Parts: sequence; C-alpha cells; structure tokens
Amino acid sequence: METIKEPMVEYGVAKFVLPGQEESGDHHLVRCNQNGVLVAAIDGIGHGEEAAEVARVAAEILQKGLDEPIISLVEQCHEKLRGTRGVVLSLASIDSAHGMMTWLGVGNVQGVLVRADRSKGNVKEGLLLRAGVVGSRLPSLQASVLPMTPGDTLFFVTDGIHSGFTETLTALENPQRAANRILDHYRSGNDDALALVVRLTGITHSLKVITRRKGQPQAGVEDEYRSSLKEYTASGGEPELRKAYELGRQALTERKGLVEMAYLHHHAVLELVRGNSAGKSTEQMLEACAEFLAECLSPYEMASRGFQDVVKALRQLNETLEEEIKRIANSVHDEAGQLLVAVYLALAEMGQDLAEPQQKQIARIKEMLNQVEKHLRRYSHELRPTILDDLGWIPAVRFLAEGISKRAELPIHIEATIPGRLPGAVETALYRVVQEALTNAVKHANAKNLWIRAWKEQLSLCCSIRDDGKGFDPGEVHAAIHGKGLGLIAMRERVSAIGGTLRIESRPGQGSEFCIRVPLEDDHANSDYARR
Amino acid sequence: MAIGSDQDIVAARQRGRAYAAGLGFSVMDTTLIATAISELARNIVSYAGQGQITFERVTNGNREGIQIVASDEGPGIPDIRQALRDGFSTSGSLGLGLPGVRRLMDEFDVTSQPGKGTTVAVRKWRQ
Repeated sequence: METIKEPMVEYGVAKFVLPGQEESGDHHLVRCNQNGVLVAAIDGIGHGEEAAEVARVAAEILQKGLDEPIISLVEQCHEKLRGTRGVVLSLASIDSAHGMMTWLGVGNVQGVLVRADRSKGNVKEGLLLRAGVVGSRLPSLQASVLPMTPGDTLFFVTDGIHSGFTETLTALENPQRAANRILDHYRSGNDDALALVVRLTGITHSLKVITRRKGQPQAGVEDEYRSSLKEYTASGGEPELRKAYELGRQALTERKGLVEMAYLHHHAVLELVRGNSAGKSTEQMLEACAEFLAECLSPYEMASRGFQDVVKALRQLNETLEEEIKRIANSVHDEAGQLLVAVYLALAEMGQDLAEPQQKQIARIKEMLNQVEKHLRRYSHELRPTILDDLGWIPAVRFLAEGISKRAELPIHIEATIPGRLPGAVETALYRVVQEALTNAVKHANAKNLWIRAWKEQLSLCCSIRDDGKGFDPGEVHAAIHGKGLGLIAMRERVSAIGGTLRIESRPGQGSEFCIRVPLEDDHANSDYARR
Repeated sequence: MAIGSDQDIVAARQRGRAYAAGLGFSVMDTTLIATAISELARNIVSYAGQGQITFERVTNGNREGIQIVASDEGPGIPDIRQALRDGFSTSGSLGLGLPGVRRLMDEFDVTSQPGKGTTVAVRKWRQ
C-alpha cells in the first residue's frame, strides 16, 4: 500500500483481521471537511460480521456530519446504536487553518499526537480516554483541544495492539510504513487490530517520497526518469544520481521488471539524442546516460544478490531435510527397537513365576510386541533403505526382487547394465517406482514371470518392468478411486519430479509393461564417474 | 557528516563516492558504495530523523578498503534478527534495506538498542 495523500494530510492504515473472520470489526475514517480533516478509529464490540456492522453504522454517521462538533457526532452515534453491542471510538477534528486539533475518545482506542517540532510543546501527547461504550454506556463527554502544526502526526490504534507501541513513535516515519510497523510489532494476535497514522502535511525536513495520487495512471516513474535523465546529462550532479537511485527503488517496489527498465531507459535516451539541440557530443551524453542507468539499477543489484542467497539456502535446506529423515529412521530402528527388546525381556522375567492363564496373556503381549517391532522396522526401512544409499538402486532392486520372488514363488529376471551411480534423488525415485510396479504385479497380475531391464539410451536412462500376467485397462484403473489407481498416480509423480516420463502399456489378457525414461546430465550419460 | 535532510544524503553520497574513487575503487564499486550510503541514510532519516555517517580508510595486511559507519540516536531496532531477515519489511522482501546493504558490502555489523539508537558499520575491500 502506498501512503495516501488527501490535500491536507498524508496517512497510512494497517489492519489485521482475526483468522476465521471475514471482516474486521475495526474501521477507520479520514475525510476532509471545511476546516481541515476529520479522523476516526472505530472498534465494534466483539468480532466478525456483527462488530463490522455496528462499526459501519458509526462510520456512516460520521461521514454525514463531517463538519459537526465531535461531541455531537458521538451523541448521534450513541442514539443510533442503542440496543446493539455498540462501539468504542476515538475521534479527532483537525483544524489546519487555525493549527488546532480537537479530540476525544470513548473506550479504549488509544490516541497519541507526536509533534515534529519540540519547541511547540510536548513531543508526545496522549488522548485522555473516557471509559464507556457508544450505544450502551455513554460517559459524560469532554473534548480537549491542542495545537497541531504541519509535521505533527496523530496515531490511533485499537485495542488489538498493545500499548508498548508508544515507545518507538516519531513524527518523521513514513505514515504507511509506521502503520505497518506498529501492526507487525505490537499486535496482540488475538483480536482485530487497526493502526492509523495521520500526518498534517507541510513537513519541513523530509525524504521526498514519490507518492501516487489515488486513481491516476502509473506514468510516474517514466516521466520522472526522463526528466531526471535530461537534467543529469545537462548539468549532471549527485542530486540527479540520487534521484536515479530513488527511482530504481520505487520501480522495484512497483514490481517493474528489468526488461521494462531497459526499454524505459532506451526510450528516454532516444528522446534525448533526438532533442539534442545544444549540439552536445553524443558520446558524452551516452556516457552520462549509462552512469544514470547504473545508479538506477543498483537496487536491482541488491535484489538479485538476495535471490542468489535464497536459492543457496533452499538447496541447503533440502539436504538438511534428507539428513533429518535418515536420523529419524535410524532412531526409530535403533532406539525404539532397543526399548522393545527391554520390554520383551522384562515381560519374560515376569512371566516365569506366573500361573498358566497369566502365562498365556504374557505370550499374547509378546506377540503384540513382535508386531510393533515389525512395523517399526518396516517404517524405518521405508523411510530410507540403507542398501539404496550404500550400494545404489540396482543392488537395492535386486535385493528387493529376491525377497519378493521367494515369497511369491515368482521368477524375476533382472538385466541391468548401468555402471556407476546417479544422483541420490534419481536413484531413490527409480527404486520407489520399481518397488511399486513389482508390488502391483505380484498383487494383481497373476503372472508367471517378471522381467526388469535397465539400460542407457543416448542421454537417457531407461527401465522397464514387464510381466506376462492378465494385464489391465490403464484407462479404467486411472479412474479408480483407491487401490491401483492411486499407486499409478504416485508413480507418475515420482518420475516427473526427476524430470522423467512413465509409459504404461497393458491390455487385458496380454500382460503389462511399465517403462521409465529419465534424462541424464552429460557426465552421467557418458562416463561411469560415481557421483553422489 | 550530519544526516538530517535530502541535501545531506546527496552530500554524503558525493563525499563517499569521491572518497572511494580516491581509494582506487572501480566505477561499479563506487556506484554500489553510493547506493549503500543512500540506503543507510534513508534509514536514519526515516526512523530517527537525524544521525551521522562517517568514512574511513581501513587496511588489513596489504588490502585497502573503505569503512562506512551510519549512526543515530533514534528509536532503535526492536528485533535486529527480524530486521536483517529478508521479507520482514517491504524493503526487505525485495532485497533492499539492511539485508540489501549487507550483500553489497564485504563486512557488515549492526548494533541497536531500543530507545538508545542504532549503529551500522560496513566495509568494502578494494579488489
């Protein structure tokens, strides 16, 4: 959000809506009136739709009576909101002509005025709040009047923000940035919250913040760039270079891309060269233009380096995750396994002196422990099969096939001629896919034979799992909600993730074949250099 | 150099650029140094209203470089780790602000106490 400029003030507002609610019960208002500006922060009692509704009603009354005395406005709100939950609010009427502000607050919406010029009075003034609820319990109303001059900044925050926020207030911070900061830092998190920051303009020392008036087209950066570039080439100095940097910063904030900036620069330079009536040396002009451009793009340089850092961090994160999974798998296996053994032994010892029925019970418990151990082992192995890490995917597949072949009494023929290792992620994915295909074949295919083949084809690795079973209709299976359908989708996902493709060919009565193709980087495809 | 207004920022950039050029920094490096000065000065004016920036020549063995220190007595940074994290403020999420300055420089250090002020010190070595 940009800092919004009404003719007399610039302000910023930041809002937080309690998660689960559609709307915030906190409303704000900043409107010009005859003498200056009316500012309000309204907090509807409670949360959600009802609170938002009462706050809206109050805001409407204020809108209709912008020039009325604020005490009268509060009384009107009270009358209108009788019988509802009501609101708490704080109001300020800024009279810029006379340099005064009249404010009052009913309830707990905090108000602070921070002065820009210490000589005019206290640096910070707090709004004296009156306990009560507009619409339910109206206290006796009294407004106070203080001097307010350009640069002075008014802060209204609702009670979703805790009062520590007053510690870091200045009259110099950009209002929108201040509102965001207050909300971010001091929000309690368990209530709707609103921070409203309003500054009377005419600031004596400030950053020239390039703001956009609401509703105007986005010509700002382009025009500014052109005129600043012209100035720089004409009488080039540091002020223009700084302007270039600020423009670049603004462009970055507005999400203008580098290519857009390149064209922007090009058009500006073209215009300059064409309009070069002073007969300046083109070369000199172009050199100045390049200097200007460099300054303008320096914010992009910061952003670009940030991006590189982020990519590095992501990669490191992935590696750390893999390590963590390994560690967990080992813990599950070793530590939990050991505990189980201890329990088993303790039970055995206890059972020695017991009668027959209790012995049977102990035996049952021992059996359950066995089951737990089996499950633990399987889970830890599934997390990270160690043979896969140590020897590679083909040995892991051979080992897996051996086990399956024995259990299912099904011959599995393996033909794999790939030397060397592949990146861990690729080997894991290949192993998992073969594992799934084998399991499927055994469960559903009723096959007499299974063939697993792996070979290299130019720059790709290919792997095929074929059976001579009863086959299936891939289209039909894909549509199935559970069972084989999900398994196929999972397989495709794994293969896509490593940049490969999966082809499934099957027809009822004619067996089935799963064929994986994975592109390899140059040094895997052409050498047997083992890489990890 | 005192920093309290736009003109001060411009003057600081100019002085910093000239100083760096005098130390033998390349044109590109002087641009990045001027940018870092701008970011630091921006923070000073934005959060504290006024402060100062100093330039110094530093050496380390046979390396030569520039040290820039930006300090103020403003409200301070409540949570430095957050301020240094990209994505915290609007400028941070784009790579600007303090994290941005850190990436343009070779060494970076910030100390701050809420209520007391902030000091950012950076160094860039000439390649």
